[in-house]
Amino acid sequence: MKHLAILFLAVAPSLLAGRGLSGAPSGSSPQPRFGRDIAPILYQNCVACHHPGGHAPFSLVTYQGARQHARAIASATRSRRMPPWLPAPGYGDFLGTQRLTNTQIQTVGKWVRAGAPEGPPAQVPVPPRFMSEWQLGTPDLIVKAPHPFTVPAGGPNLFWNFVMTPDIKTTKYVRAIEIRPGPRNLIHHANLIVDRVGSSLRLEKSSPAGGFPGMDVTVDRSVFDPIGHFLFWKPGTVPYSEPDGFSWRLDPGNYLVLNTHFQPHGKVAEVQPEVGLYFTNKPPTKFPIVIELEADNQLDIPAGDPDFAVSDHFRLPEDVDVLAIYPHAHYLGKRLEAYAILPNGSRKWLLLIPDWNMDWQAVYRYRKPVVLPKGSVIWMRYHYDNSSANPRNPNHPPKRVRAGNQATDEMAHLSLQLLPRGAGDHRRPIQEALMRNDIKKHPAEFQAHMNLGALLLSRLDAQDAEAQLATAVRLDPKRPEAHDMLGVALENLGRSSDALLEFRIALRDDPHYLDADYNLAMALARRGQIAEAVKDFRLVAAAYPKSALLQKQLRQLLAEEKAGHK
Amino acid sequence: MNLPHFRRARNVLALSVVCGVAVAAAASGPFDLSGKPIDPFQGKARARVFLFVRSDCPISNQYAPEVRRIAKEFANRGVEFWVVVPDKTATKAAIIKHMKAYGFPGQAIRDPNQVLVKRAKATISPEAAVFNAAGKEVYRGRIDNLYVNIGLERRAATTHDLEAAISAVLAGRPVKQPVTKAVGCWLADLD
Repeated sequence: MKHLAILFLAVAPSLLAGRGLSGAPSGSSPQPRFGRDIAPILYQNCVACHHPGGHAPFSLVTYQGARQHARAIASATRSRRMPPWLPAPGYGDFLGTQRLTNTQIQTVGKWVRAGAPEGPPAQVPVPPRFMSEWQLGTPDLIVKAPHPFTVPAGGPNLFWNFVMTPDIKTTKYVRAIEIRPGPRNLIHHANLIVDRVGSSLRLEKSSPAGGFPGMDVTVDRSVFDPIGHFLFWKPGTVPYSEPDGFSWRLDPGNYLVLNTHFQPHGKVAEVQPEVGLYFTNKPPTKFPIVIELEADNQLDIPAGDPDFAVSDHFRLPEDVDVLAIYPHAHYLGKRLEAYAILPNGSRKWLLLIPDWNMDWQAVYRYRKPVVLPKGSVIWMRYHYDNSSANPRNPNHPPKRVRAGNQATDEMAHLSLQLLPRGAGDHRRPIQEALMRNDIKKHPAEFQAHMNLGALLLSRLDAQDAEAQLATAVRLDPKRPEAHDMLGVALENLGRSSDALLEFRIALRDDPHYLDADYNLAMALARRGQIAEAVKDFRLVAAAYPKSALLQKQLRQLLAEEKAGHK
Repeated sequence: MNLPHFRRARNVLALSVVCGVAVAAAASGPFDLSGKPIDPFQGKARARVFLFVRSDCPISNQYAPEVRRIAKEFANRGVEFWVVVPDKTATKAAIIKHMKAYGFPGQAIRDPNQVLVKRAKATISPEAAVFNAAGKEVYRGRIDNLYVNIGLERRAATTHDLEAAISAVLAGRPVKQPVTKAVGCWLADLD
């Protein structure tokens, strides 16, 4: 199906030329008319979705269309359910804010009460133009979900993940994505997740037709390659194009996971979305990092509790610009607060959502970056309503609810896209602070120690790394990657026999763990046990026949072996 | 306002030669899909369910599977299902296509002059009205309480008002909540 998109640039001049941008009736005639007073409000706030073939179910472009839904428009705007914009005004200034003024809402109400008059047709401004192609032009690469997903006719909202494989031969730098979700009305929003290690394939195993269910997705990710961008899409908005220098890397072999949220619409529909990727030849020069505050471990909400609060905080080790914010809770979430306490003790609001609605979640990008100096503490404080008075409560009667990624579980996450100030890549100090914070919060969690250990090792702090990795191994002795990394730390500390032992444990637990084979071979070679080293190295080199470096190293080892024999 | 009972209207129709008003009443509908006036209250039924729909209303379309489920539950128990289309501009082909696409149960009936709408006092799409065997309206309102308001819905309905009303009629019990608030599109917004 052709997908409709909007030429926003073409819209703006006509709107600005129109008199009624504010929607306020002019002094000469108190009775609002469609052309003069209502159309400008609809064109600016509603028709991006409510146009023929658009994402919303009916069109509000023409007088006829608007009049046929006049009472619904009045009701939905009065309750501020439409347009769906959750942040409270004055608590962060966001791009694409879709919020009607009180005057606009009153104007709509007045118009409907007056019988929704059209007024002189000549007063109707030129409507926005809609086009059926990709909004940012033809993408450089279109990746389609390999299998369609069947959305049932009825039942509650559901969440599905499509796993896609971009066909690229070399590394690409992506500056924008656009999603064409297929049949209109169905997708509420989507998140694109770059899976660099293929962990989504494991998640996909449960479903023979491909893809997998779930509201939230976690993929494995190297600590040296943190997430830097929000790849979020919602209907009715111009796809976000990264500014110069903010491109992100897509490597051959990476997978893209499209995490989608569907609402059944009365009839069965097949959905097979496409992702359009727009490349740039400029590698990134800016290195933002997405940090996550979370209070999932505090989520144990008693049945019936109308106001259960959780919080988390994070002290910034560097000066940063906050570029964007993405709150996430499920159906019990009510009031979501995010703010920073600056070093001088003052409070700077980042976001306030007084009445959270999961169905309209979004990434909010600041019109101007919010500057937070080093030492500022970012806070999230979320309130949950697990009473039966909360109509969105998925449990009836209410049940005790804990953290999880099903719709009936809860979550308390706040992600922020930060750009450390200053030139170059300043992500490491933030990552380290995050990891130390994580260990404080979850002292018995394997991954927290593992991550910090890996990071410390990468900056050759073998002593501290060894302590973290030894803790990780103690917490979960069955993880070959932890033994392997501990081996590297020990090797760096000159504890060669201890290192060999760790590599061998890793290989005992996973005989195909090539990293450990490689590290073992190198350690053996350093000890002069060349013949043994060659044996392990052959395995690694055979697995990567195209790696010139490995082949070269193997040749060197073989030469050493030969020399040793002589 | 209570409009005259259909059966009575038909009786008056027999005297139409001398009574122009009754002819006008019949000519104002409702109509079957071929355009002929039709009296849905004719014949025997233990209960009649009218579902008022606008094909452009997402909430009423979303309800199609639930309405189908309810119709199936009461199949062969003397319950008639009518899908009332008050939209003047809806053509026969468009109505058939829409009914089929969403799988609405029962028989479609055109009500361009909103005769049934007024008789049932319906205002919303989707809104249901249940009439008992005597032709008395015993329930009017939502199908269930999935929607609290436009844009505010439950994950699943917790009351099943239409289903309960039909069950009550069949059991000869009074309907506990004879009027509920339907959420959706306004019928009065139609041309």
